[in-house]
Amino acid sequence: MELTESTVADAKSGSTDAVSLVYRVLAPKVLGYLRSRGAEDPEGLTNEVFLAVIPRLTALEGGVAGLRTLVFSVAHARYVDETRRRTRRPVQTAYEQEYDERTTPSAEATAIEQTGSGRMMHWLGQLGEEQRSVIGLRILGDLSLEQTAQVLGKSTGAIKQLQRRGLENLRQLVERDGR
Amino acid sequence: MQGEGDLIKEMIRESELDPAEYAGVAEALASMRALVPEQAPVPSAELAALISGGVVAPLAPPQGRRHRAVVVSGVTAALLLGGGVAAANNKLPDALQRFVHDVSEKVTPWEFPEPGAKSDGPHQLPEPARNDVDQGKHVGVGDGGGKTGNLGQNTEPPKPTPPTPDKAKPTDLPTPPVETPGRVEPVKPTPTPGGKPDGVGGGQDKPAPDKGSSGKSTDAKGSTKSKG
Repeated sequence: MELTESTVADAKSGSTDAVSLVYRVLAPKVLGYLRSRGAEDPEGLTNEVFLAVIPRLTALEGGVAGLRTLVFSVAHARYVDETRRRTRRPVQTAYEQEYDERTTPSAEATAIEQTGSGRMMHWLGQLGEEQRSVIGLRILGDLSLEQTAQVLGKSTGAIKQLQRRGLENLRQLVERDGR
Repeated sequence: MQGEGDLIKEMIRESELDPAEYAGVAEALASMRALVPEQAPVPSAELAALISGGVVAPLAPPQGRRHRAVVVSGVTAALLLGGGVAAANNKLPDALQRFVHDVSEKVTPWEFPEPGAKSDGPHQLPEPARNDVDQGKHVGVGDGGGKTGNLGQNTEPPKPTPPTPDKAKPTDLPTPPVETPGRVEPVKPTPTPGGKPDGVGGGQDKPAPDKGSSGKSTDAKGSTKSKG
């Protein structure tokens, strides 16, 4: 399922089918990006992102690329807002057994941790904030260097440098911990 | 959109890094894709309405707690004031009026009328009791010591002092409260015009005005006592 220029044009003119398709294509990527950043409520934040984006579709410029840039700009801004909010007041969460470190992880959890994104999340957590943003937006948002630069409000050259340092740091971590 | 492998290779190329040295990194980056679910998350009701073209009603602006507190305080104050005025005028239902009367009698310095009491007009709270001791001193000095018992040494007959109008009017006296069991009201001495001073605490009583006989009657009393 891919977005085409005609789909974005239809969504811009108010077609509910096209808007629905935009949501179905982009919402999983936004959710993945917010998960990679460790958002407290990634599903709720994804909802907020599209609540803000859909009313702005009529004024959208730039077709599919412009839509991706807009969606991830809002997503990144929401994540930053949530991070600031969390630093201002402590978070109270309900008890969930799966996050209780006093228990032994299940075989399934161990398998996911070893084979899936668990180790990558651990490595990402050791990168700088901006390096994490660049890698997350590029891999999970399918954004180009230029689009990433627009989302983060930096020059393309600065994004290129952040990406390079991020990849170098990742290599060290991967070699240290083993693959 | 390019494949994930293509994108990662491009990132390594853009960064002018050796793809062979970064094979492990490329594999780690590819595992990040597991964070992206296959299905979009279920939209909230508000978002679903927006996607389907429905009109989303804007949320009402939240009313501040301060605004609510001001409104509640105003209503409460109005109720209390209205209730207080009604109680003072004995306009409340009997049971409520009795309750207000009992509570006010025990807790506050004011007294509200009991149910059934006459309520022709606004209830007047009784005036504070007079300071009889001060009045007695004042009267005694004015008497020139005539009530100290040394009547024989008096050369001048005591001038009858006309009673002060506001002190002599019986209508100005506070209405004695109804005596209830278990409650004893202090008895105040009432000045009686023409009454005989008791001699011991004579300073507290005023001499009887006797305009007709002037000082004669006093003289006669004094002579009788001195003779006896």
